Amino acid sequence: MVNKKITAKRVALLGVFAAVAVALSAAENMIPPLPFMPPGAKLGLSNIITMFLSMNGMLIPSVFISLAKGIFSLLTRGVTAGAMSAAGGILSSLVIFLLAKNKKESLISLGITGAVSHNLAQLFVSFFIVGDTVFYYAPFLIVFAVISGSITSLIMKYTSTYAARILGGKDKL
Amino acid sequence: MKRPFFRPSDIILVAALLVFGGVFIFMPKNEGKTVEIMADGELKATLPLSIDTEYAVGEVVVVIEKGAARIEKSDCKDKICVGTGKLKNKGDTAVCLPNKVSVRVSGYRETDGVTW
Repeated sequence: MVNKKITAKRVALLGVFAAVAVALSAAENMIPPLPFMPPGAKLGLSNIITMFLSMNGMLIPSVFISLAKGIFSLLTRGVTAGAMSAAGGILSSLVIFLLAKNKKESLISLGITGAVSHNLAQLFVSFFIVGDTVFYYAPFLIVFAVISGSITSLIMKYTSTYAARILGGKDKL
Repeated sequence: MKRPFFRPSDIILVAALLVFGGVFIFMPKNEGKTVEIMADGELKATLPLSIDTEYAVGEVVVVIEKGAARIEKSDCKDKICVGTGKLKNKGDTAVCLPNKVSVRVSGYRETDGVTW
């Protein structure tokens, strides 16, 4: 990453990915909460973008997109939501980036650990706001992360080749 | 080399997470006797569940009815606290992040929160 030039193509692609991530999270807000879901839990469809980038070694673009998503949440749903979104995105990007260095690590394990770390980061942010009562949610969030992480990685299985094609072969963002 | 979608060792990861979460979710629950209402990290009130009443913290209205407490109204956007529904077992919690208000049935074992 360090020696790479900032080219127009790279900036444009980053913008495209950020736009897709924001669009996905906006679309997701329109889905009504399902009865079995813990209060406040979401599927995290936009995490597909950050997962794709960080698992292919593009940690910094992934963190950038997490911040873009955080700013979007900040504008539409307030400071708390913004901080939680950014914290979740950045931690899960980091976790996926590190785990993906092992090329045998499966998509589903990356998706699930990403979702778990995302939810736990959010839990810690809310811990600083309301106190230890929020840890009551932890088991629900972990179980739900297994489900949402599996869904994310399943979508990834069928879409990552197209996303890689947009990037243009081995070119990294 | 293509990354596999699934490998057998993932079963251990999934099982461990589900068991860990499941143990806490399905732990035997006891009905609580009182609820603690916190705002801004401070205990505002401890109310008995046995007496039907209403309590307001700022714009958040807590209602106790038929042995269960719930957040009836809140001015926040997302209404997650209202959607949480009835609280009657020890440890049941509803949180309103925007208003920094939480309602919890007393008797929650603190160690669960510390050691997970």
